[in-house]
Amino acid sequence: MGNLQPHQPSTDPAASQRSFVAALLANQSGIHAFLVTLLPREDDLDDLQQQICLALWEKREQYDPARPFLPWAYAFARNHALKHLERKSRETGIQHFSGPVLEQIAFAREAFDASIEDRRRTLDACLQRLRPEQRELIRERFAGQRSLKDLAAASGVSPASLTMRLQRLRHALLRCIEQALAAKEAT
Amino acid sequence: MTLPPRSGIAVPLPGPDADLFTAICTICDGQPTRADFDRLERMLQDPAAMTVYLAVTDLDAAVRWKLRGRTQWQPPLADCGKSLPPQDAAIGNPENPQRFRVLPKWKKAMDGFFHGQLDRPARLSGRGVRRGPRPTAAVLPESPDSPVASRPATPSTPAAPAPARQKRPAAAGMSLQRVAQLIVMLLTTLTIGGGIFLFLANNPPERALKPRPRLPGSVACVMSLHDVARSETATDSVAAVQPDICLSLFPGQRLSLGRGLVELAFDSGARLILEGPVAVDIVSAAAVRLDRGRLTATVTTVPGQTTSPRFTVETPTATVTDIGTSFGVAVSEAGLTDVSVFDGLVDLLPRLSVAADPAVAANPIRLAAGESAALTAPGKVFRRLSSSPIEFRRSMPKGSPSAPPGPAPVPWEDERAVAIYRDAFKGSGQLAGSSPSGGSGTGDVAWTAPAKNWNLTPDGLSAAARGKAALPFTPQPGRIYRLEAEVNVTAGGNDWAAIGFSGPADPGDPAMTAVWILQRESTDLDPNLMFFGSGTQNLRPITGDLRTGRRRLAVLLDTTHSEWTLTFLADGLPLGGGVLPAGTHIETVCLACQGQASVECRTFSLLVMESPDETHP
Repeated sequence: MGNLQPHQPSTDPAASQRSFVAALLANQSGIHAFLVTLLPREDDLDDLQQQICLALWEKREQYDPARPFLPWAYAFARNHALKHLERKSRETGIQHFSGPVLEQIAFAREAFDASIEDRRRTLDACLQRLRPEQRELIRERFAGQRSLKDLAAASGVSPASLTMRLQRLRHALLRCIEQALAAKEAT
Repeated sequence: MTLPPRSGIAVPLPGPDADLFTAICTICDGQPTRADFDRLERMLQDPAAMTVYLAVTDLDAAVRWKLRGRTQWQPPLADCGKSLPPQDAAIGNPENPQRFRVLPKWKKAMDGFFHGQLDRPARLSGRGVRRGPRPTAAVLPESPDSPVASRPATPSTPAAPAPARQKRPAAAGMSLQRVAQLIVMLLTTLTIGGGIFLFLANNPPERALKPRPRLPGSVACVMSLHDVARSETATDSVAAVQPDICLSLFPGQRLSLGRGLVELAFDSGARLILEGPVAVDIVSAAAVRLDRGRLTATVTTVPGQTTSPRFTVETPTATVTDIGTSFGVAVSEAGLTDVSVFDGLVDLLPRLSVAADPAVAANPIRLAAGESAALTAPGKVFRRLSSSPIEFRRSMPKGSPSAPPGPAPVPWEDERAVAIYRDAFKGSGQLAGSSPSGGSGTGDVAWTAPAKNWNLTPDGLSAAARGKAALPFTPQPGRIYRLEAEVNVTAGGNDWAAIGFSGPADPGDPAMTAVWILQRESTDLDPNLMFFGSGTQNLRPITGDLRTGRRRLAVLLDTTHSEWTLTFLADGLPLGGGVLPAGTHIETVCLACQGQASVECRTFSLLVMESPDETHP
């Protein structure tokens, strides 16, 4: 994401606090995206994200405004995500990535940051190219409150076939993004 | 496939059925087993596979973020616990907005931050520091750029020749200024990277485009009203929006009016005119839900914003999406939808379920300027019409100023004010019968209050029973009064505590006059912040969320003109107001507790300021 920076370092503590909050708020979608990549199965990241924000806020003195905000925030996000997974798997026995692989993903994700802004910019156009019922499915899956199972039941199809539809949709969107970016690069 | 090099990382996308792609989607959507994770973990050792994984999960993240309806983490001051219906122009609105819960600690941190801004002391006048309410402007600054130190430009000031009625003096306390700047700054940084800032700061001095500082988290302002009433038959309604005050509208909020016209301005650049009877839910800065009634929308590009503007109107039976345009939508009692396009293009999509026939769903109708269409039954497709059967209101009536019918309130100047009552509620025992500790009106005046559970403590008043504590007060013409109290509603759910001016009767009496501002512990059921007695018929579009602990609530009453003006403030920030007929019978100032609410109150004051001589003709 844009990695929006706090403004110039200022000697005025109130001003630097304001610019810190601005950077913190501006980079929310970046932190969110990072969390989704580490915890792809977790549907509700609001609490976790706020805990991370709180941690960042509490450590705001340590932040160096001369450096990019997101990588600094990612370190906090990674630690919180790991703790969250540990607790959750202890409580519910849910499966997740192993620790070393999570570290690998987090590491690779930082390098991937450079591409994200371009990709997001093309996403809107790609979403618009979907058929209405395809958009509806995506909406239901990502913003609805129904589980995939309920969604499948309501649509009169099996969960497996709905999963397959989503897989196709993801692929179509990614292909659209790749093509758009390649075309842009070529011109 | 070899992709040309580009700045980012090219994703070597495999086929849709490739093992890798299936493995990733199983993790994201399915019920993955340990074996599924192990398999994907092995695959991810290949950097190319890792790139694909990152691309898929980032796609999920992008879509999820879009659908949460936020391009930002909204300051929690205003949206805590509020259901924020997600929306997005490219993908539309979900049926079931997810609930969003703000963690108490995070809320506290951000509240502290925002309050830190709010509570910064205003510029002190040379007359010494007074206890009690800090100096706060009754009127908003003309623009966030106006100098902090600007003083009220009274008509006697040569630099401000315009009559006070038209030109609103800018008397901004520093803290208010800072809040305004902060809000503008946040909008700037977060929303569209500068577009809105330019929009707010550099626009020509047209009233409509002026910045109107407001509570964080709001997405639109009520700009003007015309002949508005809550019911179709009401005849005694008076309602007004004061210029330069944003009646903030929040996502999830519902506007419902029986009669009249309301003009709204959205952050996305859309202008809406609602025509009563109408019921509209604010979904986001770029979307509303129209349950019944009519609206017209005019969507203009915000300078600096490159993407084409889009605004969505959801109806019970359809989704109407503009493509840079102006159009009208009407929803009948049965929920059916009529659409007319005046300019540009509009897409119409009947609302269908996931399981609906794709052949129907895949055929939105696109209407061009001058075209109309109607939906004759739910779930069917739109039918084009040769002419629109509905006459839409495309502008507010001429001669209906966006300014209220009432006069401009005189700006409040704390240094010129005198206390009539001042009470810190220190002591012990019942409030009833005790006298305010300060103010010219003290004498042998005593509080009337419920006998039980309205008690003084060393920390102030603690009220835990329904009832009203009142001090006698009758406003005189030609003055400005400021009633202010520091309150904290600590229990009671949606029940509230309030301060305000009251007529003689108790709540429930049809003849009662009350102009109160409320705080609730919870706003889940009703975010309304105003209580107007039934004797004071009025529109109540002023809602918000003030339940974050201790608040300074205030009501300003200006009796210097032939109509009395009211302004409601929370923490110095004007939220809205209205007018009262001059001579409205008021006989008390009060602190009231409704239902199960408990309230702590530390300070209560009533100040009066003589009208500046210049305002007397």
